[in-house]
Parts: sequence; C-alpha cells; structure tokens
Amino acid sequence: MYYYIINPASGGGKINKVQDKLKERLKELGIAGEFAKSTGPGDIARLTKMAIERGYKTIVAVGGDGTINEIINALGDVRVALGIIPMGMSNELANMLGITDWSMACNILAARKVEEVDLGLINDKLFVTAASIGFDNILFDLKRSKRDGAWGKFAFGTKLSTTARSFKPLHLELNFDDKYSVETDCFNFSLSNGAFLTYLPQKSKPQDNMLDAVLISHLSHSDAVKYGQGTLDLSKKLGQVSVFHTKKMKITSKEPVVVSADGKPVAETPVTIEVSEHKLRVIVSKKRHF
Amino acid sequence: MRNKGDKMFDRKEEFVTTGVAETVVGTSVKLKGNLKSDGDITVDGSVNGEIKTKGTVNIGPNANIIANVHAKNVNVAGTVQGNVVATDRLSVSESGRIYGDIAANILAISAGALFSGKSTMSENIKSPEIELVVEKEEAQEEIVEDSKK
Repeated sequence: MYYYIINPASGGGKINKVQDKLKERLKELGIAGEFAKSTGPGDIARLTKMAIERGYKTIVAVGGDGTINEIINALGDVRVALGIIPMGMSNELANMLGITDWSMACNILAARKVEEVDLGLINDKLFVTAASIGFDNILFDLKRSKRDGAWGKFAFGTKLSTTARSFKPLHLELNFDDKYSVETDCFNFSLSNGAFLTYLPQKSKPQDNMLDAVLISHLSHSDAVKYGQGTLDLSKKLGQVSVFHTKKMKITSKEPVVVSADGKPVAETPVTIEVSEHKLRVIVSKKRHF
Repeated sequence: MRNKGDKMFDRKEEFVTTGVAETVVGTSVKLKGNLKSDGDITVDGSVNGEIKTKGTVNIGPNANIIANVHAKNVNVAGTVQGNVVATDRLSVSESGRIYGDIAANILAISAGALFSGKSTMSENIKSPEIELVVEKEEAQEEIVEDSKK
C-alpha cells in the first residue's frame, strides 16, 4: 500500500487542479492507497512518521523539493521507498529521476523501480538536491513570491535586476575534507548531490558518495540577471567558476550567512556539510539522468 | 606545435577550459593545501601546496602556483614556483613560467616561455618527486626558445 502525502501549497496549489484525475489514474493502476494532506508547518513530518508507524513501505511525496526535504528528514534511516509526484515550484529531484509530470509519475510509481541515492547532511539536517549560499538564496525568495502572468513576470524581472545590482559578494573560507582550503569572494556557492547543476560538464552522480562544490566568484550585473533568469551559459565563463569534489567540508565567514538546502533556509555559517551515512530509497524512471 | 588541448592558451582575458576538468580553481580563488584527484584539474587562480592527479593539469595564464605539480600531463600557461613532474607530457606555452625542476617523458616548450631549473627526461617517470636527474641543465632565468631546436 502506498501512502500519499499531499502538500496543497506546493507550486502555488498545482495539485488542486489535477487532484481528481490523479486519484482516478492511481486507482486504475491499482496503487490508490491512502491520501493525507498537510495543513501547516510541521505537518508533513508528522504525517511521514504516522505512515512509518502504520507500516507503509512506500511513501509518495505529492509536492516539490521542499516537501521531499521535510519527508526525508522525518524518515531518517527508516528503509521505506519514496515515490514522487512532482507538483512543486522546484522539482529538481524528480527531473533528475526522470519524472517530468504527474501522469508519467503514476506509471513510474506502478512500475516501482527503486534505487538508493546519497543524501547530504548540514549539521543535523538532511538534503537530497543541493545546499546553497549566496545569490541562490535570494532567488529562492524571489521565485516563491513570483506571480503568474505577464505582470508577474515583469515584477520578477524588475526585482531581480534591483537585487542583482545591490548584491555584494560574500567572503568565505571553504575547507574540503581537511585536505585543502579555499579563500574566496563568492557570488554563489552550491554543494550538489548529483547532476543538478546542468551548466557544468560534471560527471557527478547521486550514488558516488561525493558532493560537487560549485563556486561562482563574481558576475557582472547583466550576467547576474541572466543567472537569475536561468539563461546564463556559465560553461563560457569558467574563469569565474570553480569546481571541487568533497565528502565533507566546513564553511566559515566573518558574519553569519544563511545556508539553504533543497531551496529552504536551514542553517547559518559556520557549518559542516557532508555526505550522510543514510541513503534514500527512491522510485525512479528508466529515463533517469544517472 | 599545438595540441587540441592547448586551446586554453589562446586568450588570457577569456580563459576557457576545454574538455571535462573535474576540479577547477577559478581566477580569483586562493587555495591552500594538497589538491589531489583522479581526474583532470584546471587552475587559473592561486594554489599554495601540492597538486597531484592521474590525469591532466591545465595551468591557465592567470594562475600563480607555489606548489609541486605531479600529473600524467601538465600544460603550463601561468606561473609555477615548484617542481613539475609529468609522467607523460609537459607543455609550456609562451606565457608559461616555471621556477623549479621539471621531469617529463615528452617535453614541449614554446618560444617566449621561461624555465629556470633542472630538467629530467625519462620514459619511466613514476615517482612524484624529482629524484633522478638524467639530463641536467642548470639555467638561471633561462628563456627557452624552442624545445625542438
């Protein structure tokens, strides 16, 4: 039996438009199971623990990366399989697993092919996609407040331009595996658990027990705006970009800086980020990107 | 003579790596410590310590390295203060500067490059340290015009 945790707030309420069709399709496939809807902060973790107590072996996140993050932190080292029906503003994990829409997700859930993937750990919080410091954190806020339609797009562009102009690079010290350290100005720093940073020719996989650290030192205002819009080709600006691979790293800064994981703020510097001993059992598509 | 991999030396202001470097130290980055990898390493910033890989090390025109470098192939377009060991090929482009001893199986130094130190050429370089000196050239700030001369 599958236990579906629906986050109605994900992706601006996308689930509300397809909920009936989704349940119908799951019923057709014989995997209807039980549905639970979160109603507020902390509810997803509570529902996850309830599903574990009831003995469910498959928990399905109906939401985005933020919803998945709350579920994996409630799961800990419990060996259940996680399924995903992508409904979030950000669905990076689902995309990497080859799950591009809810209809495809239903078929993938029914096939139930399970793989183990690495998890990252920031202090005591798990994450599955990436941890970020710098401009990405501002972008997450801007994207969360973005409205649909032409006006929403215009307002987002205006705010992005203003923010990119006023953004001051952070100064960070990064220590990798206690082997070497890097002192640098930082426009953005990401620690990725797989091929989530598609602008770089990385070989990383979410099963290699390594995290990819990608540092962007400086960007001009126009490039920062393009970065925010997702149109900047960083592969042509590799002088500004540094790439490292690590199992464990420490990040320090003169002033505390916010660290986000899976798109949510979770800690402040100084922090230690590492590959967790826990692995996530997740239902994947044959068309996954690893 | 230029290889496909020497494209990185074309323009100083726009250092673009070719191929798939697994580790990249960008232009404004200062790294201290021992950088070890199985894959290719590209450096266009500062490194103080040691660089070691089974792959290729590309040292860009903006790079300032105070470290011993040991790799299969080493391409130098920046400044290295330290010993360089390439078990296969060491290429130094016209903007390259090496202040230290070098050892390589194949050596290519472009006109305009600067090399000050001892050179060793052998087909069987294994050790990360330059210990055996087969050919000895003691040069003080010698500008090597062309390795083929």
